[in-house]
Parts: sequence; structure tokens; C-alpha cells
Amino acid sequence: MTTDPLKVMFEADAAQRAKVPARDPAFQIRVIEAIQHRDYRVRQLRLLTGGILACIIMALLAPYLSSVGDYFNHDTLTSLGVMVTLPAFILLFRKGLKL
Amino acid sequence: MSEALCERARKGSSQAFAQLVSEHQQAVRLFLRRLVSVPEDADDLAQESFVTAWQKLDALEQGVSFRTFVCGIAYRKALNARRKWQRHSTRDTQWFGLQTQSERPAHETRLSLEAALGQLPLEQRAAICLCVAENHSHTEAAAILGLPIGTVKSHIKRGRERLCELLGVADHDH
Repeated sequence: MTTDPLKVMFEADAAQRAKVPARDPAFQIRVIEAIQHRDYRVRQLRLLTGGILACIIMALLAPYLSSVGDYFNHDTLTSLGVMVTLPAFILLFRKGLKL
Repeated sequence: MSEALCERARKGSSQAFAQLVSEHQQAVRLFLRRLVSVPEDADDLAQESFVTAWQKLDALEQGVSFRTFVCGIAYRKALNARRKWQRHSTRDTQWFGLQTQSERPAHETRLSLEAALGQLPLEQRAAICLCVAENHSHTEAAAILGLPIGTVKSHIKRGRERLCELLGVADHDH
């Protein structure tokens, strides 16, 4: 039993206040939902950034690739495009784009 | 128990983190309710604090309890919320606040604990709430508030004096 009057007042005040339950599943669910929502947004942002980055890299490489492609015939150029694009798509969408 | 849960949460287990939230939500929400006074705002800040704790779980040092870690985040959130409020509050509101405080006669200064706490600076209020109301040690309070122990002790001393004066009770420390 405390003799500190301030402590006694705090204890009385805590008893009067709207109680915060020791276990509050609703609050727990809200926190977990907020975390999941935030993680989802971060993943979306990473995917978008990765997509934009891939587009920029492709745009920068395009002139060099086309000049390389000029040495080959049209069929070789098409297969070269597939060879570059396919792994890029696999990386982006199958492995979750870990930047 | 908490350390094992922290370790699992750090490895990405949201179940373990949910258990940590369940164990510590009461302490964090009570602490914030004393700092912020509007229960809904306090609960929102508590929620944000836990989300930030999840993000920064790797920064939790060895020997620091999860409760101390989250309360520290909660305190900084409360500080930021107060700064934001101060930036947005109108001059009229501030003037009104000053008027009511200065015009109150001395014999009417027995206030409710909440109103009296509201008159203390946030640092003093937080230190008092942690050490007097929630029985944290000075070391834990210093870790939560990010202040040296000496500063925490002086905040408690000054806060106690002011509170006792406002509430009209004798200071136990004197």
C-alpha cells in the first residue's frame, strides 16, 4: 500500500478512466491489418519502381540492341527480343521482384 | 517469453508479433492516454506505434524490453502529434488557453488530475506518468524518453512539485 498521495491519485484516476482491457483482440486485429496493408503498399511500390526501372533500362538499351540487330536478319532480332524480355518478365512477376 | 516472441517476430512471424501486441497494448495505450488525453487519438497513436515497431524491430537492442521499445516510439509519436497540433492550432485557441489559465483564482486551483497533467510540459508529463503512475524505473524512463537519467529525475522532481501545487496535495518527496 503506497503512502504517496500523488500515486494514490493516479491509481484512483486509473480506476475512473475508460478501461483499457488487458486483452483486446479488436485492437490486435487493427494493428495486424495496418501492418499487412502497409506491407502490401510497399510491395506494390517496389513492383512499380522495378517496372519503371526496367522500362528505362530497356529504353536506354534499345538503340544499341537495334544496331546489333541490324547485323542479323529479322528472325534473329525477334528471338533476341524474346530472350531479353522473357527472363525480365520471369524476374519481375515470378520471383516477386527483390530489389 | 517476450524475448523469444521478439526473436520470432524479427524473423517475420506476424503471429508472434500479434502476441506481442496483445501483451503490451494495455501499457502503451494507458501511457498514451495520459499524454494525449483524447482516448481515440491515443489509440490511433498506439496503433501507429506498433506498426512502426514492426518496421524497426531490427533496431531493438539486446537487454531492452519490447515494452520500453514501443513506449519510446509512442512517446516520439506523441511529441510529433503535439508539434503538428501546435502548427495547426489557431492564434485564437492559444489566446483562449492562456486566458483561462491566467485568470483562474488561486483558491480554485484544485484541478482534476487530467487537467493538472495537461498543464505540464510533455516531457515532465511523460516522466511522471512512467515513473509515478506506471512504476517504471528511472533507467527505463530514460530509455523510453531518450533522455539522460539526470534529466528524467529533474523532470520528475519539477513535475511533482507543479502537480502537487495544482492538486493541493503535499509532496511526498519533501
